[in-house]
Amino acid sequence: MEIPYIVTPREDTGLWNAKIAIWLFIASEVMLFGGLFSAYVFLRIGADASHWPHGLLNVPVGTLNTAILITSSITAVLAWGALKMRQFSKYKFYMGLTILCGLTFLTIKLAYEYPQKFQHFGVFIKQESLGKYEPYLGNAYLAAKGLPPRIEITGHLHNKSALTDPNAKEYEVAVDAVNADPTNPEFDCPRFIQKPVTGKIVTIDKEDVEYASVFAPRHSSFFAIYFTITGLHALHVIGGLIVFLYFWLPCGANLYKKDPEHLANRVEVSCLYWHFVDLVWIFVFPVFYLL
Amino acid sequence: MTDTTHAPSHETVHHEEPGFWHKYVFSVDHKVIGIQYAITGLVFMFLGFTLMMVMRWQLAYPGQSLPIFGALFQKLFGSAMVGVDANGHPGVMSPDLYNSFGAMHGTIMVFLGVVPTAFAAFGNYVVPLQIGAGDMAFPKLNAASYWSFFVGGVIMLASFFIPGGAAKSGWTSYSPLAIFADKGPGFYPIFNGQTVWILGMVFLISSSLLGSVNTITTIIQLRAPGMTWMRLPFFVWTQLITSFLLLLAFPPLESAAIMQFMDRVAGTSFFLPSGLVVNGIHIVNSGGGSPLLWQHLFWFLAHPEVYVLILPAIGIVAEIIANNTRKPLWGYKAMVYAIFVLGFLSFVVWAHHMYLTGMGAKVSSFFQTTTVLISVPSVILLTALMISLWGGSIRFTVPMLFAVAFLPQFGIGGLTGIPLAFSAVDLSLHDTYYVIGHFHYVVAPGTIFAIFAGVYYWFPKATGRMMNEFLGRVHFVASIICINCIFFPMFIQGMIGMHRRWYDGGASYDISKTIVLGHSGLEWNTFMSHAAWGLGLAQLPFIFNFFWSIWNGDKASRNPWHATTLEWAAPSPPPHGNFEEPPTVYRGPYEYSVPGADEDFTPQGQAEPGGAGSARLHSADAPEPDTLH
Amino acid sequence: MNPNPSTHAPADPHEIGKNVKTQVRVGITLVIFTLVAVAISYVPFHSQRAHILAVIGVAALNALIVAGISMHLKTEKKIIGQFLVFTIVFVIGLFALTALAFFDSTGLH
Repeated sequence: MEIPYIVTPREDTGLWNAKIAIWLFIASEVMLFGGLFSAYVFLRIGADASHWPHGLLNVPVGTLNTAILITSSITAVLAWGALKMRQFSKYKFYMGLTILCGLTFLTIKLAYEYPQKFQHFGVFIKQESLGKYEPYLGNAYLAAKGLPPRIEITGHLHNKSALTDPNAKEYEVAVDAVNADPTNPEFDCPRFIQKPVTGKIVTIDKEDVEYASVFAPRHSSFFAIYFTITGLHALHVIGGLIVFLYFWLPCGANLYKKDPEHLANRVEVSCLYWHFVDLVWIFVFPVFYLL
Repeated sequence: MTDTTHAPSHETVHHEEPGFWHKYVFSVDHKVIGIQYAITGLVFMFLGFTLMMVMRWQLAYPGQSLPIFGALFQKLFGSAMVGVDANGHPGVMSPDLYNSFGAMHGTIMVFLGVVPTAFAAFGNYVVPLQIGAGDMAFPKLNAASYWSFFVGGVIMLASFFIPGGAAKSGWTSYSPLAIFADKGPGFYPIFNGQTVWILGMVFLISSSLLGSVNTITTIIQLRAPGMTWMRLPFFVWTQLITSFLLLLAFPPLESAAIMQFMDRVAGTSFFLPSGLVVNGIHIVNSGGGSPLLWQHLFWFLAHPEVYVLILPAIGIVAEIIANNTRKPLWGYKAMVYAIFVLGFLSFVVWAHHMYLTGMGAKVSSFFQTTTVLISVPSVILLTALMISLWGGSIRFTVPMLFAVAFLPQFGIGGLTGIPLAFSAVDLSLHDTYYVIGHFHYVVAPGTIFAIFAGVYYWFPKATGRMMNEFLGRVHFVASIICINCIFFPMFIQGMIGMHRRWYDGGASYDISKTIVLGHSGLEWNTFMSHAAWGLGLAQLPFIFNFFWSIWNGDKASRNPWHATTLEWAAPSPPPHGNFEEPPTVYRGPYEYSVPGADEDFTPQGQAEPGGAGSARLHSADAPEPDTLH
Repeated sequence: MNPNPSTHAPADPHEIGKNVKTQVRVGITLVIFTLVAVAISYVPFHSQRAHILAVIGVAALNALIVAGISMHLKTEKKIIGQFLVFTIVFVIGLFALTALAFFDSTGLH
């Protein structure tokens, strides 16, 4: 007994089985990321301007990653086209390229961007102590310009033990450029290329600290939703790469010898999934990096 | 929709006979998977019910130790969870254990009991047969979905024995309680009941998603030639809509579960507001989150989920009523449109679970309106089923007993929901026993009775044997009496103001002493508990009957109920591939008592009307179907 | 007829070739639009709302291109589009009704 319409489309619907299935699955994924994006919207609406950071993510790197993912989408379609035209070596070439692009995306994200964040540190100053740290926050200047106040000092933490040692009374932070020179107009808006951390060390009393954390999910609602969505997206990328790898290596690619159209259909369905993963990133990038 | 192609005639592919494990355990055959879901689901239902039977001891006799099993109870759950009574006998539930039993009762019954049985078990077994297919569209995916469910179930059960016990923040898992529960000394950071509950849910949600993709694709693509949309058995329609509900409603809960997991494990504050003080300690976190966000995302799933619980049941009841009245369903088309409307509306009513969260008048009114609107298709469905009885030659077979009992009980469940739909009335009924009575009426005397009906009805097809009639009637009479005795007094308790989830059953509140119909709320508790234990006993004939009949029941013919739908044209039980020859469909699903026919039923797959009472297919003889619409 | 014959003819190379060319053009367009979005985001807008709309607008355009052309939704069978319409309606419902609940509240958030 063979299941019909695996390869040949059914006449009245015009579709073969996996095509319907993948679109249904994509619909459910739209709802999944929709749920997360709705969380983003409500967290941001509920936060005041000082508590929602801007310009903390690396835009050039994000743009590069976006271009890489778009490229991988195109090479995926080229791979499928080669299969449809029964050009097996061309298929292997383009599929290999797709997998490479995907791996590059993941490497940049997980081995560069994430660790960079975890090394960065932020201290939220208590409302009543803001005046004490005015030289690093520049709130009078901001107020005059009608901009929301800065309440956080960011940079690299020098005395890491202060995080866990209850006896440590202060944080020593090599501050970011914005805290070294807060009244400089070039820091009024986020910058395309971030300035590196300065060597200026600022000592912050723990008594003046509302909350302190590295740039991890627990730092703020922004990083919480950023890491959650990009983490889930990365898991989806890994899933897609595993499927592509399966169809690139002999275990899956050998289906070409038995029924090339069947393989073409399976690759098409995988490409549809991959396009969806790309589509999610097309929203993730501007929402988190640009807004 | 236009007609389909001719059935693809397949070459007989010679398969090697699969080994034991592949044939009976890791099978990809929809029938085996359906039976696996059924047995696992029924076992979980009984487990979930057992949790409640123990809880009802606590409600009836608070502070007294569990009789007979008290010592075992303490051994199983530890002395931190199970204490001793005034006389030193072990077996008194602690409030924490009561809460975890309550939370797990809900989780197990909904996600491990009813949905796997009503949707997955019956869906997997019956749908391919009813549409004339050889299997589901994706047999391996089907197996994956069962095993994902199984793993999720094992995780949920295992959570009882993790230090600290199972999740205890309600099946609704509201933040902030669900974020701070099961934390601190005595709990592992990740391997604790509440966090493990989230992990279990992820497996269960994945299982549902795979199952719904499979079901929808199967129904769209694998219908036999001649099986147009309006010739589908109503059960198949309900499975289609239910699958869409599962497909589109579950993911936001999955996203919320991920966020709750992050809150518990990564220290985020998705659902935690700023300035939270827990047990006198000011919480140090980034804050800025919203507990209401969890509720919105949770109920976005959980409301369509309740329609997932009821729609397959309505489908099963419809099949059995048509068969046992020997006439077509009244209002088939109206019923099909009604479930479409029901499915659509079910996505926009969810905040009626949140009337007391401080929503303003505009949004309350919106949800109130849609909630009242959704009662319209429900009433259409129930009315059509009731009218279907009119003028029928009713045979009170055991499935029919359960199916007919479903109607007024679902009616009570539905009608008692109407006061809850109005936010003003809900103010006094929210979180009381009235709500528990309402939803249990729909699911327990409702869906579970439909599940029983379905088991008795399709058992002969699946096993080739009939279940014992006498035991079935005993099961029915005992169950219907006990189940109404449990749930009806809940409306009374709710209206006098007794809250749900009270560990002592309301003993410390004066309102519980209000007398209604001669008894106080607390006395009703005792009455209900005895009914619950009676209901437990009433299941024993069913359990015995189920297993005994597999080997010793009367042999069943291909079509013992003289039914018209395609599954009865296959052998009992059907072989791998289901039908000896691929079926073709010539008429609607409920051609009973067709004037001029020899028999009082004309099977869907039979070419000539009247005649072949055993409904064998003769595709070789059948004329080319040329006027199919 | 065997429903799954193992000897399907290869697709018409001309058709596939045109398709491939379109996809490459689509890819280049997407990258360009991404750069446009990046550029726009650094333009000082008068209102935050306009800023958000502009950036999301370009993103939405990119998404439509991916969905319509790369995923072939434009030429896909009707039924697929019908599923997606419902999905979009429900996502919008989730956003809109939750937003309504947040904004129309009696003060407790």
